[in-house]
Parts: sequence; structure tokens; C-alpha cells
Amino acid sequence: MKKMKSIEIKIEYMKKLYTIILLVLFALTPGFIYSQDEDKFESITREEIMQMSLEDLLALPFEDLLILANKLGVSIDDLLKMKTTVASKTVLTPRETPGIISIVTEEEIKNSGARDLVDVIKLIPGLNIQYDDAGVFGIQMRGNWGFEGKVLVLMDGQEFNDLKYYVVPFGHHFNLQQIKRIEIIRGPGSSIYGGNAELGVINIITKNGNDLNGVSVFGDIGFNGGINGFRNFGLNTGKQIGKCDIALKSSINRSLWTDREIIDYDSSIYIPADSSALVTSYNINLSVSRENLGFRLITDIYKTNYITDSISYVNEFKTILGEVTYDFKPISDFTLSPKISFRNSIPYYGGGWYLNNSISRYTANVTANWDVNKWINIVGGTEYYYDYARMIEDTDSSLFYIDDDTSTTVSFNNIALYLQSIIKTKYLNLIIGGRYDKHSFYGDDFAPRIGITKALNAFHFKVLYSKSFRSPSFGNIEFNPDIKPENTMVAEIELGYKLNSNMFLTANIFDISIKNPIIWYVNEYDEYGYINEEKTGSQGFEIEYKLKYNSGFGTINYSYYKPKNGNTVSIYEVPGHDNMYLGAPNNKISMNSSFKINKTFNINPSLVYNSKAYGYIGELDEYIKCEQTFVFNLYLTANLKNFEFGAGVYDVFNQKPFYIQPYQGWNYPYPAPSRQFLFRVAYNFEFKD
Amino acid sequence: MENRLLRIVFFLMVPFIFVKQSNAQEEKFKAIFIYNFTKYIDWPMNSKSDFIIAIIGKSPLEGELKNIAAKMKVGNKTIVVKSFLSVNEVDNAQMIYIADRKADLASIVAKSKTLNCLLISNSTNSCQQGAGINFILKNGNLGFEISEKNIKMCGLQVNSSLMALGTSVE
Repeated sequence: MKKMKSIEIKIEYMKKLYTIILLVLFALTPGFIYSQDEDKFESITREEIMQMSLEDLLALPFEDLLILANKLGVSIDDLLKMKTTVASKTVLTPRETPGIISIVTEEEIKNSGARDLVDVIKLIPGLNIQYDDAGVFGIQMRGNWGFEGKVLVLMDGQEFNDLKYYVVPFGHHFNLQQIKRIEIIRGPGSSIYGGNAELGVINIITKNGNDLNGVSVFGDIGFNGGINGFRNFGLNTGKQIGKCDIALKSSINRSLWTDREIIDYDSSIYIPADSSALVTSYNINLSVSRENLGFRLITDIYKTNYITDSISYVNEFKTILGEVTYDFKPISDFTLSPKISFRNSIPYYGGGWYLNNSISRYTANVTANWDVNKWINIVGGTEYYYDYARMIEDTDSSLFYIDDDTSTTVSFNNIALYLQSIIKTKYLNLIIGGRYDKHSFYGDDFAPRIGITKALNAFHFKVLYSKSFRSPSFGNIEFNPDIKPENTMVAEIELGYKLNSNMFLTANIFDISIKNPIIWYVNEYDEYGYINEEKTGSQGFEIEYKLKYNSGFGTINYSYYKPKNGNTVSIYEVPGHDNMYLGAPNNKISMNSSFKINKTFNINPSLVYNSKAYGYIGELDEYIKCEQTFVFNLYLTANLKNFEFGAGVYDVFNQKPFYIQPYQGWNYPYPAPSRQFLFRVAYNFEFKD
Repeated sequence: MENRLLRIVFFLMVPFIFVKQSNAQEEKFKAIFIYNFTKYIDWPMNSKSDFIIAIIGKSPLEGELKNIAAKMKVGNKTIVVKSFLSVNEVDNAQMIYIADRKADLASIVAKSKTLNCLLISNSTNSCQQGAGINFILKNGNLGFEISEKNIKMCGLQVNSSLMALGTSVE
């Protein structure tokens, strides 16, 4: 009977897949297409013009040269005409890509004075960081707790989420000096990325050899309350030699989570010290590419200390990522990209947990990208992965318990097919696609997407409707073999308007419905584990205003989110406040700006406002109100020949915000650092050609 | 406290002030513009001499022009780029570019008429004061003003296509 049901479900999914394929074929009919004449320099960016050689420019007719000269000035087009692939696997501008996305440039990161990725994320509409447990912090996406596999983190295209719980620990992780750009989809990405991209994708793109072209040595340090708050050091080097690009980036971090008192679940108070609040991380990223062939190896170690019941623990996350890629172009406009990758995770190692496992994933992927003609692009591919998990130490606490069978090793596999078509017409772009995944343990899932986008002169719009899913992890299955993927439907509408060549305004509304969310529970009998709840989700809107001038830039945004009606996940609720989830402020404002004082100095104010939010103290069964916070930061940068200097103050008005556990757990809100003074220096030695 | 914070936020919302800043690519564009101007102007020149571009004052443009001179010619003439501290030192040139904003424009205009050369400047209202072409920078975008009258007063003929490409000033 169960088998019959499974076959019926498969048939249903296959029908959906065929429907999409038929839609694509229909879209290929010539009658559907309108011609579209474009200015030949329409898509060229200022960055590309700045890199043109004397020979290139001399070869142009004077008329064309004048058009390019008229794009030399800094304008908002620098941001609007960036080429991004994160939301579609094919090159589109942010205004036309089928996703609500944020792109953070190296310039914005550097000038903001951000201490780590957490500070950058707080500047993005709809995103926040909250506290989970055991010294681990996670991401909140548009009011929903995005921990454990709901938000995919990519580093140079490689998936970073651990393989036991699909967690990425945030905070003093990912050195910002390595980063060239961050692309964030603030919505679902399962239709191309699969089961870890249910609520969003964060794509961290690091500098390559051509970007570095030399050696850069850097360090920063932060002080607060007499405590050495953080210390980051690193070295990047790279160069493009002929057709070969080589880059090596490395960083070390040693920081304290906070300088404020840490309150344990039983109200015990601890003074922050290495034993209770130290976080250290080490990262090495090596990349070598030659023409269409690429190789990358990333190793990352992250250790976070916490204290409970007067005992100190260290939670360690070890990650190794490796990949070989090749872009094969048998004919023009068609690219076939095979990729082989390897990922090994040892998450939550140590720390007094019964989680000492090593899990490896071996992935083979082939993606085809075909520009059928000027108006039609098709991306399709297949991916297979094999997961192998083993216990590290021979203790009972390391065993897997799956299907009531105690085992020291477990393996799964998954095969996926994905297809996407982008049809560009005069008045709209139609994006339809989907991804089908079949997992050896929990079965299959299908994530279709349809989107309509278009930039019409100064105005653009996006209408997006997607289904996404979150795959159960090893950790979920271990506790509950009957666990099912959670499924999410997301509807989004975005409107944008370029007010003039230097200003841009965009706004979106969204509705997120999560069915069968996977929830960690502890009941009154002290039983715990993962279950599929009925439903949850959020609704809201985000508005963002951007300015970009020669003299500086600025971004200010406002986000509003509230629980979706009908939420059944009681551990997210705040009694008496139906419009709030635990740990989720309804309103958020963030601002990042940079003013060029002269050729050497920039002054950079930034601000993050969060309205009040509630936490829960399990031991007392009480809710605690965390007041609104208005964290204002000021940072000064100076560029002197090969040196870059920075100095600033974080949380100038000492608002002392908290990271709140966004569900009914046992943790008091975790104190963020108080006012902090930071200093940064980097020396860049440029290689000569 | 809240009032104080609001004041700071208000201050930060004041629109940014535009600051003019040149960069290397801008100088490269100016140099290529100057080279392109030669295609639209007729000089009454000696067929045996080089094509001389005189720069008054110091400018990174000199290096860019020399790079072009190494690769290109005006007709069959070799381009020679010379730098001068004062216009009084210039005794032969087909173009004069004023890099020194403090230079005496009136005396340079007079000299350009004597030498029958195209006068190119890089400062506000200089076409109104006798320059033939003046570079303009608006929001960082490069363009040029052109005065047919001033060019003709130097004994040169300008192609109407160039007039259409620039902003005409009388």
C-alpha cells in the first residue's frame, strides 16, 4: 500500500516536470517572441569601461567613444548593471534576475568597517542573526528562523553548510578581506540549488588572482570594556600569469563573543573569558584556473566556546571543500559545465555533545547553458551525490541510530534533475523551471518556479512564485526516521524605479508558507527530537533606497515581517503578541553610507535599528522583552600609497543589543558586544606585469 | 537620547555633495579624444613637419598622449608631444592643451591664433574666453564643448560632424 502511494506521488511529480518541459517547448515557438533592439553598449558596466585598454579604445569610432565617456562617472548603474548568476545560473542584471536579491560589493564591505560577515548581514533588509545554542549563531530570514539547512551558504560556488545538520555557524567566520562580492537571494533557491536553499542563498565570492595581483597582509583588532574583543589576521596573494590564475587566501581569527555578562539557563552569571566566550577560526582558500578549467580547495576550522552548569565546552566545526570544474564550449552560445566536488564536515565536534561524526559528500554535476537565440536561454542539468557518514570515536555517544539499527556508518545518495528556461520578450522576461530530487532515504521532492521580470527604462518589476524545500539532514533522520522534507511556497512581487542616474528605489512584498516544518522539540517527559509540525511562515515587505555618487554612496532600507496566519509551531509563538515570533523584531532599519572627504579619507556611518523582540527562558517558563536597539557605527578609512588604515567605533551609543534564541529553548538572550573600538591596517604590495 | 539619534539620522540623510575627481581612465579618454579631434580639423600645415601637441603645465595626460603617439599618426605625420611651463616657449604646434589651470588664458589664446593651432582647455567657461574645445565633466561623465567661431579665428576648418558630437558654444 505504501509502495503504491509512493508510485502515485512519483507519477504526480513526473507530470509536473513534463508540464514544465512542455511549457518550455511552447515558449520556443517563434510567434511568442518579440524582437528586441538593444543599444550595443546598454549592458556594459563602468567597471568594464575602466578596464579597457588604450588599444581597445583607439579602435572605437569617436561616436562610440563618446557613449562610453558618458558612462565614466560613478552612477547607480554600477550596481544595477552588475552581472549576477546566483538566482538563475545564467547571467542577468539584478533588476531582471528571478529573485529578490542584494549584492554587497567589496567597496561597501570595506568602507562599512564591518568586523565580520554578521555586520554585513545586518545591513541587508530582512536578514538578522540570532542565537541558537552552545555558542552557535544562525541566520534569520524575513522573520523565519533560518537555521539548519534553510539558508544555503556558498563560498565560491561550493556549498558550505555542514553535512550533519546543514548548519553554518555565523560570527567571526569568513574573513571580509578575502571577499570580492556577496550575493544574497532573500527568497527561495531550491529550484536550482535543491534542499538547503528553502528560504535563501548567500553566495560569497572571494577574490581571484587577477583581483589580488600581489600580496596583501592585513590585520584588525577591536577593544571594548578593557577587553580585547577581536583579532583578525590574514594574508592574500594571487596573480594572473598568462591564461593561468592563481590565488591563495588565508586568515586567522581570535575573538570573544562578548564583553558582557553571560546568563546561563538557570540564571547563573558568567564573566566572559576564553573559557566561556572565545571563538577562533582558520581558513585557507586556494584556487587555480587555466582558461576553462578550475580547481579550488578550501579548509575551514571554526571553534566556539560556551559555558553551562559551570562547565566550559568547545564546539568545533571542520570543513573541507574541493572541486574541479570545466566549461566546455563545443559551439558558440552553448556551454557544458561538468563539476566534481568533495565536501567533508565534522560539525559540533567535542562540546560535550553526542555528535562526533565525520560526513563526506561526493558530488558529480553537469550543467548545460544554451543561448538558443537572442531571446531564449535554457539551463539544464543533473546532479548526483553520495553521502558517507562515520563515527569518529568509538564511544556509544557517536553511534548513528537509524531504523532502530545501531550502526557506525551510514550512507545516502541523491539524484537531481533541473531545467530552467528564460524567455526574453519586449515587455517581459518569463522564467520557468524546476528541480526534481530523489533521495535514497526520504524519497523525492520537486521545486518548481515561475517568474516574470522586466526592466523597462527606469522601471522594473518582478512577480515570482516558487516552491522550495528543506531536505531532512542526517541529524534529523537519526532522531526521527519518519521525518519528511518541509515544503515552502513563496510569492514575491518587487517594483523598482531608478529615480535618476544616482538614485534607485525598490520595494517588495512577500508571503512565505512553510508546510511540515522540521522542528526540534522537548516535551514534559524530557523526550526530545525532530518532528514535522503542521505549518508556519511569514509575511512582510522590504523597501530599499540606494544612492551612488563620485563623492560616496548610501543605502537605507526598512523591513517589516510578521508571522503568517495559522502558524501551528507553538515554540515560535509569543503569548499575547500574535504578530510576533520569538526573537524576531517586526521592524528593522539599516543604513550604510560612505562619504569621500578627499582622495585619501572616507568617513562611513552605518546604523542598524531593530524594534523590540521577545526571548524565552525555559527554566523559569517566562518571556523576556528585549527593547528596541539603535546601533550606530562610525568608521574612518584612509588610503596611503600601499597602506589602508581604518579606525572606528561600533555601537557608538552603547545600545547593547542581544542575540535572541528564536524558539522556546533554554537560553537567555546572548549579549552582543558593547561599544567597541576597532583598528585595521592592510599593506598591499602589487606585482608588476 | 532619542532626539539626538534622530538628529544624527537626519544629518545622514542629507544628499551627498558631488566632488570632482579625475582618474587615470578619464585622462586616457581625454587623450584619445584629442587624437580623435585631429580627424575633424583641417590645418594649414607644412607637409614635412611633425604634428606637434603642446601641453602647458604638467599633466598625466602627457604620458597617455605619448602612448598614443607611439602607435598612431595624424595622416602621415608623426605625433610629437611636448610639455612647456609657459606658452611663451611654444614656437610651433598644431594643438595646445592647457593643463595648468592657473595659466594666462588670454595670452595662450593670442598665441594659438598666431600659430594657427587648436586650443584645448579643461576649465569652466574657457570656450567663452577663446578656447576652441573645452573638456567638461558632469557627474563624472566626460564630454566636450566646442566653439566653431574660436576655431575659425585660429585659421582652422572644423568638420560639422565634430560640432554635432560636442556641445556647441558661441
